[in-house]
Amino acid sequence: MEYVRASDEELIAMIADGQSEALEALYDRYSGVAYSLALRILGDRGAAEEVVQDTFVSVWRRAGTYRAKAGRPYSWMLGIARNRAIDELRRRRTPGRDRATFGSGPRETPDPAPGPAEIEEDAARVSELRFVVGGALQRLPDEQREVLELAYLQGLTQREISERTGIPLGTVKTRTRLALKKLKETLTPLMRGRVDLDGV
Amino acid sequence: MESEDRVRDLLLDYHLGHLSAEEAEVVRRHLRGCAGCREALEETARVLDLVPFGVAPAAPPSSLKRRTLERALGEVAPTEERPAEAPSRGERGPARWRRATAAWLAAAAVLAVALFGWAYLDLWLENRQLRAELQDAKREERPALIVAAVEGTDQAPDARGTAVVDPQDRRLALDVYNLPAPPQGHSYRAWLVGRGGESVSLGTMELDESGDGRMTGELPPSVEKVAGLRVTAEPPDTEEMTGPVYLSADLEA
Repeated sequence: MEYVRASDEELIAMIADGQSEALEALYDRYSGVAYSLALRILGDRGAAEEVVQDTFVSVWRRAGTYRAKAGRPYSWMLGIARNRAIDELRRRRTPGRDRATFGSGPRETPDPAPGPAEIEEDAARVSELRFVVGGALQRLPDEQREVLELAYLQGLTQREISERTGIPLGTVKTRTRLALKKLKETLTPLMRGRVDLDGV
Repeated sequence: MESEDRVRDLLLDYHLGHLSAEEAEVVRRHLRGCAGCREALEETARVLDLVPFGVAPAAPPSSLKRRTLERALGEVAPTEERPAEAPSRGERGPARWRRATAAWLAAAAVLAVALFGWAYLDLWLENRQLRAELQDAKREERPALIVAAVEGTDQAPDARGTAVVDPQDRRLALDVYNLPAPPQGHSYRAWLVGRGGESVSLGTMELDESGDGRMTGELPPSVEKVAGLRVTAEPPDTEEMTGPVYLSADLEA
């Protein structure tokens, strides 16, 4: 079996079957995205690495519990990564901490020597997803992107966003709704198609 | 039943797991009876699940892969986590002893499997590391090909080309396109330029009627380290690069 060419679902099934090579293939496919997300949320490399480790250990242990009805494998897996990172952020949250944003570069210098994971991830599909989704986020009006960042990257509820920013709760909800609507319009072709990295 | 508008407003927080248990239960109850909100939740989820791809990319350190796999594979094999069965009340005598014995046997078996598994994991990791080191060594042994765009100068702004140099085998391939016909009494000649500024002729370039040409060959031994490539128009029997440059490429690795 050529693991690199296997679909995400096939890899998850093989991981559930105890095939470590499938875990390695899934790592090569998604570790870059998981790491970028965790680094953006937590702001330091060591913590982001912990999140990536926890995520793939969790995938290895719980692959048998994955159900396609709950979403695509990347949704499940990156959801684990986000939850871990947000949990850690909440645990150590202190007032006045820098806020994470979607588009700004990493707060720390990226590894100058990209590893195999990055090389795999340079495959066209990931680049395309990053290009399209990154562009869609950047094209949002600032105030709409801000509420989405606070919700997704800071783990704040809409009520907490309102309290923190002083923006009325109704306005936060409106901005959130508009942001999601605009993203949906831009990303619909990706959402309808097979938005996975099968065969990368 | 909770109003549809209120639930719609909570779908983002619900999907991101930000609601309290009570609020989440309210949303869940509503979703059971409202197909429209279920569909809205799915759409919200599909959009939000793509967001990680929009975060500014950063490269994890290459050592993280080994550490992650070691940690994952050092754990128990993947299984569905099942709640442990509570022991039956009032169970006593031989039945309890049999259960205890079975438990010890199971524990011993798990220990044996774990020890064997650990030894196997060690071997597997060592094997992987050796393979990776071998690959690295091979990569180090063989320098990367140099692939350079060949650009037309003001003499031939529409001309283009590609140069590929294999430093290991010291071979070069040059493809050029859209070169105009050379001036009367001249022909095109390719030159390799060394880092010291010296130029060595690679020979005359023959073009077809479209101005396209190709040449391949070995790098001249007199040029130890290549810096660039030029194509000039020269009169016959020239041994030095004197004519105007039509194409140029930077070959610095």
